[in-house]
Amino acid sequence: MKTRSMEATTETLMTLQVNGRTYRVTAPMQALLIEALRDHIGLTGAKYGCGMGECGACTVLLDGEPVCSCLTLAIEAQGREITTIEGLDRGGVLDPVQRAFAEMGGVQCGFCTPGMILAAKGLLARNPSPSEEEIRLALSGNLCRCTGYMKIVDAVRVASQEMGRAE
Amino acid sequence: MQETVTGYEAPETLDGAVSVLQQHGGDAKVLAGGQSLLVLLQQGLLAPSVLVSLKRVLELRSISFSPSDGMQIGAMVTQAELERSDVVREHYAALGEAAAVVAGVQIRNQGTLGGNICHADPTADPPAALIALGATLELVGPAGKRMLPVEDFFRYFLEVDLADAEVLARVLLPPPAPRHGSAYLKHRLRHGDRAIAGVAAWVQLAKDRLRIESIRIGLSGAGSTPLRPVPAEQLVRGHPASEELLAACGEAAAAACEPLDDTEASAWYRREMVRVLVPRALSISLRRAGSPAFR
Repeated sequence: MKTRSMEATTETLMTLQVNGRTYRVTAPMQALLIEALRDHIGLTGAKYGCGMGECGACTVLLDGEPVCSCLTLAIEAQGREITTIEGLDRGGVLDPVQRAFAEMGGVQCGFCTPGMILAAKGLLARNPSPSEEEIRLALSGNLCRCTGYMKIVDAVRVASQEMGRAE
Repeated sequence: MQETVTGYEAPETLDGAVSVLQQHGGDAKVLAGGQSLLVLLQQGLLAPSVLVSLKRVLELRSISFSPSDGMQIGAMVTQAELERSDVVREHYAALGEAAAVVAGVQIRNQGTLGGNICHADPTADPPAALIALGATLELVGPAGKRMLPVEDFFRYFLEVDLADAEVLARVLLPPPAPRHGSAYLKHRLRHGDRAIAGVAAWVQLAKDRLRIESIRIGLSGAGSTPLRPVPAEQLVRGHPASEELLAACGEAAAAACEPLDDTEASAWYRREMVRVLVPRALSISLRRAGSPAFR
């Protein structure tokens, strides 16, 4: 819940490139990227979990690199390519990582899933054939309360194998 | 989050940043990677009206190295960049290893070395490594430039020796010494947690490769600031490396620290882990330095 000070807050116009589209958003100067995405643009895939960068539920990609959107100012995300979970599928066809999560049982309640998938995408872009240890390290900034992580790790491994075969 | 920020500046030079900070005084906060500041903002612990971002000061983003001049790291270099740097891994291993265990990949992609140092969390990892590596900080402010050994920068929990409108510009590391080795070990429950105890060690062997000519240790989680346990170093300096000596060093380091009791770990436990990790970090450093006794 936002509280407002006595003076008017300074809202500012910002231009954000999200999933290949341009959005013009008017928001407070200190608005977080996750607020711009969820409250202004309506992309609610990124979740607000902790607001402290410890749970990873808010993970999005900035120029392909996983970041916490709760620890990113929306104004500083201008000029960068922002990718959210909504930007992965191609005309309804799931990204291999999305499909692997679904098929391998790596999704239960789904709250951590957008962040997990994007963190995995960030890993696979840098390291297409990660070891289990490397997968676990890359996902260590994403918490899951449901699955116990094993099927998530399996999903990332299967996705990396599929993507390797597809090339 | 209470909306207090009414101004955002992104100067393109260091001098420009200092001017803006002078102009706004106590209303302004420096914004580096934001991975600590934005947490404090959301929790209502800070309420600046102006954010002065260093993102556009390009000179703060570079890393340069030569065997004769050592390494200069701009304050805005990210933990991820340090983690991935081959030069850091080869010559300043403790720093690369410390950067690699800061939080999760999302934080490391935006969090900066300078921001981490200036936030001065005593359980942060890079400061301990910088102490062990003999780092010097370059600070720039209205009165000009000044240099400070890194361990002298930390005053108290979240408090550093930064004057008004002063900015940490660069971290300087000495040229790699012959027959040296360093390491950083961190004890925590889950990967990405703050350190319960973190130990950075740096050693240089004498020409005989038996005696430890030079040693520095940096501790995380061992006090209200990152610590350098000088008595533990003095115990070791000039002596032949041995398991017994390393164990004694661990005891001395544990005795020299004043850890905080908090919800993550008790002071007793932090001290105990310092005692255990110091010999291990030294052992790895000695192996890397080429000690025949530690392979």
